[in-house]
Amino acid sequence: MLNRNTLRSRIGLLAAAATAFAAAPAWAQSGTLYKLDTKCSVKGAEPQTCVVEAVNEGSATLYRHIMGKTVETIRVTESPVRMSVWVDSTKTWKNLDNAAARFSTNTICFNGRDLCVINPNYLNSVREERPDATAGRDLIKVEFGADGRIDLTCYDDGCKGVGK
Amino acid sequence: MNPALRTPLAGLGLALAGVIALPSSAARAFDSSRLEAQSAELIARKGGGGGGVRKAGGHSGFSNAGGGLNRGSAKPTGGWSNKAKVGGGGAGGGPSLNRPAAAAARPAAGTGNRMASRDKPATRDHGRDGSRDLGREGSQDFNRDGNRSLSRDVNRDVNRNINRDVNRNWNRNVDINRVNLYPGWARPGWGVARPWNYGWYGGWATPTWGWWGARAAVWGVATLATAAIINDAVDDAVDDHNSYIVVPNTNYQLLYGTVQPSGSNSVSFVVQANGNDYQLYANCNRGTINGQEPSNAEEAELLNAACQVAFGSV
Repeated sequence: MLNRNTLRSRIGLLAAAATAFAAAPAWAQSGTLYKLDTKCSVKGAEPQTCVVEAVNEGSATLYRHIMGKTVETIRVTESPVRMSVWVDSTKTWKNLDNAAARFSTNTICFNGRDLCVINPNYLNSVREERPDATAGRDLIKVEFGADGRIDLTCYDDGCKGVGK
Repeated sequence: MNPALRTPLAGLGLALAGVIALPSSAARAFDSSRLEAQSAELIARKGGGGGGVRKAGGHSGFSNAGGGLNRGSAKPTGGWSNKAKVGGGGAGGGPSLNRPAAAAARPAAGTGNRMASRDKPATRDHGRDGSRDLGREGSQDFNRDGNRSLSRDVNRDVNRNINRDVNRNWNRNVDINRVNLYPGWARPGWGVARPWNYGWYGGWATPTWGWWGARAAVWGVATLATAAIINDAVDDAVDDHNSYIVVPNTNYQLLYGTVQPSGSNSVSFVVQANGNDYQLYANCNRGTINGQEPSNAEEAELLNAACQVAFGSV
């Protein structure tokens, strides 16, 4: 039978563990969200089969687009939203200039047409998290400033001429 | 107490108070930084809705001025797909930012003279449109059958007791306020966005259901609404941000966002009939609703529509 001190000690440990867990949401969220067999296109070239691995790492979500031996990784963070691409040659993250999504084709593109992918999972999540902002919308574009933060968001006809 | 000792303790108390207060102040700081970013964004948004400056507690108009795109890591209703259905996208079934031809043919959301379905004088617009489409695309017989069944349904609906629209076997009412009518997949591109990658459904023009031939003859119905008609109805509803489609040739309103597959043959959904909301289950392979064969053509159309939304091609 547990004596009172042992019980207190264990309750204390549990409370400490719970506190640590709550204080580290980044760790709690880590892990693979999904792997998606789909199609990608690089720099406007013909679409090719690819696998998207969406992984939570700390406060970011990484999207690895695996096309054969080539991997293009996009990192997305929130509050504020920033997107960056992994540059393997310099081993650094480079802020994106822009990103665009069209719901009706389930497509999202990064930096113009540098990398486009059919990813309904991503768009389903966006749609459900921001129902009011996305209701009735099909095309969304965001332009990032030099500091990586969003300078401009446009929708549908409001995007005419944006990014050109 | 020694004053020299009291001061550090007081400082500790202040520090603790600061720690306790930190979450709310940090949240305010976070909100203000986000607001700053969002304010700049809103200026560029089409129809973003100006807010004006108001004091805290009012509606600034900026509260929903999000960045448009986000992290995309929150699991949507229906979960994650592991295989994207391609083909609904751009050229060659690949990714594309170009508007699909079918979508481009429709007026943009919020434009044109289309009324919200709920305000339509009769809930048969989709059915009428469908018959016209059938006539253009299909054979002469197809057109004739469509019109015949349509007018019969209209007359019957007008004269009969309205309660007859609801099968006695439909006994599970749902609280619509507790139902997610707009899951992430119920949007433009919904056919590809459906997160499930499985399912079976077949036999549109001549259903393979064992009961179909004899019942169809009795009902005087040769065909059910085509996939194209139902897909168009969903597309229109999505564009108009309506939560339901009117099932062709019926008084039923199918809440398409509630459609969820169960296994590869079955589907659950909510339908509105006579002002009530019913949770139903259909087996698309056997052709049953709540375990029973449809008792009239309207129920067959409902079965057909729900199965198309769940498993049909787009």
